[in-house]
Amino acid sequence: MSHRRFAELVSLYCDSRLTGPQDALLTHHLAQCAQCKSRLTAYRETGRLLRHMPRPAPTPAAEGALFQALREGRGPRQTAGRAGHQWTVALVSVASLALVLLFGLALVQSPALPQETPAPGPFVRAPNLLPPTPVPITGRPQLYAVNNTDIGSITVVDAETYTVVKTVELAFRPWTLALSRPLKRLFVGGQSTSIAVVDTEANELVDSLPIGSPVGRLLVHPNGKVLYASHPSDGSISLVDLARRKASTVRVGGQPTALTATPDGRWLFAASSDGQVFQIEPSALRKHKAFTLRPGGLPAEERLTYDRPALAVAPDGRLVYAALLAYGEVWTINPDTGETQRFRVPAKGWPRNAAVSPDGRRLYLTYTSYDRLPVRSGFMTDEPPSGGLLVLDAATLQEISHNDTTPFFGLALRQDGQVLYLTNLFHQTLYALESQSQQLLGAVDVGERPADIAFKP
Amino acid sequence: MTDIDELFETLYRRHKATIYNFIHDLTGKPEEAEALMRDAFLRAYHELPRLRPDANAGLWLYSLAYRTCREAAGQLQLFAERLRPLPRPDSLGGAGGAPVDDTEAVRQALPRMPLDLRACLLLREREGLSYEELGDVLGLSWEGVKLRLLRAREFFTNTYRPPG
Repeated sequence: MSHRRFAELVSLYCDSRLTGPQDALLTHHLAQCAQCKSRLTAYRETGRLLRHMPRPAPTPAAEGALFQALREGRGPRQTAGRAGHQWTVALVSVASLALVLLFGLALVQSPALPQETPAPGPFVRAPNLLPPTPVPITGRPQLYAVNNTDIGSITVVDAETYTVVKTVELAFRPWTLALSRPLKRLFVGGQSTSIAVVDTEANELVDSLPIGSPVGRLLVHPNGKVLYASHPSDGSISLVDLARRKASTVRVGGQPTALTATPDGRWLFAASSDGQVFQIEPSALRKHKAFTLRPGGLPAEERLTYDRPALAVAPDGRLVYAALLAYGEVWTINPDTGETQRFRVPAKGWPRNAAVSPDGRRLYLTYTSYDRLPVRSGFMTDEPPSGGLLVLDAATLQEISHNDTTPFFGLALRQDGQVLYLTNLFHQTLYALESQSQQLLGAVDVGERPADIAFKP
Repeated sequence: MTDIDELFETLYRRHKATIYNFIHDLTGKPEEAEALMRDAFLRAYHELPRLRPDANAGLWLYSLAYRTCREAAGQLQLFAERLRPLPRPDSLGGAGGAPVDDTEAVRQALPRMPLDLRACLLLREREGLSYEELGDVLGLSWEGVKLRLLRAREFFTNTYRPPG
């Protein structure tokens, strides 16, 4: 055998990749060959030297530049050669400056959007948490869907005829919305440091609430006086006193997005991407408890599994449901005792939204999944996502039905629980389904990437 | 969309240090490493919606970082490296004076290696990737990984000048 072949074996030996016979062969050879022995020593020394090199950390400025580029919707530079690389840096810097100046000018000149004010300061008093207020119903029922695109908008749909009645343009990418109580205002949050406020009669943008950082999810307290906003980027929840237009912040950690609150408003729950659920006491402005949901059969940490639980609360407020559908689990949390219980359910894809029927009998969950993928071929896929709707018995968490026809995303229920409204993020559609039979009642094209939805009776 | 943004932030927080280190070692230039890391993560953000959910996100980010650095090094330079025979390591002049310690000696040796050998060696010895993982990141078969790693080790061994 040649020394070249032995060199291959030495390299494999360093990495413990030799088979038994190869190992025996090389061990025998090493005892006789000083050259291969010295090669082995050199390879091992190479590993030692490289492993002991210091590991410098990127500066905060690098992180700032990345997220600034993302906010501006920039892609990676076309880098061709070092000189080109540096020129690109210079050009991007000049272009960014020009964009910032132009965008600033546009904001100043725009009559529709109020100018953003600095982030609100700390709030000394806890929000006034009175019991829920009844919601008077006026006007025609309407549906609102956020169009989650860079040129964001809200599509307003007549909930009786399933026709688009208006599109409200926004100056940011919206993710989430919530109706005020009474139902006169629609709050819209997203990739902006303000919450847009839409008048639901004229369907026009009428106000803007400064909130400090991008919003993952919005929720209105049952008494209608406080608006909750989760901030995945800084691990906090804002509580906005709507009368005073002031916000206070509760730091919870993680990347909180999904929100739900007990009907009496005593407890607020937020779910984070790392699988944690936080229980917050809004009246005391503090995090009461953190639940780390550890699913059975947890895949390797590096697996990219979307594990932020979808949250819903029972109408009587006695149970909070946290769905980890990718793992085939739904957890229940008792808000008063902190007791948790894990239930096995059919494993589905990434949980998107959850809601409990007004009678408390059914738990609805939307999800998207990629379970029809062909065999592994590299890291990427062009296969369209699949997904659906899973209906569970809210008491036993046994499956009642599932609908895997299309990747449903947004989820809202009519106030009587008879109709389900669902969006399909990938197919521009809003659907209305009869909640028991899941018969299609109507569908309407609501423009690009409809995500979160709200129903106004 | 919010899920992608959220997912991206999770990936960024989890992997920024390792990806920065890999790019820093690969380029040997701290001033370029941050810009290249930004480009790699911007690319990740735009490709994230198409990422297979069962893909190993850490390996995917290594592959993006490697591609970004390769493109930055210039396609022409890369082809030239492939077309001409590798220079004899002992014919390469030293960059600067004699190294004063191991770290400096390694920092002097690495840039003299062709980029693909450097990447393979760093990912194996410094980042601890298996042969199968190296194949995923570098787009090589198991045999290809074995040979590239051998070449990388030989090249480094012949290029490295110990301190003192």
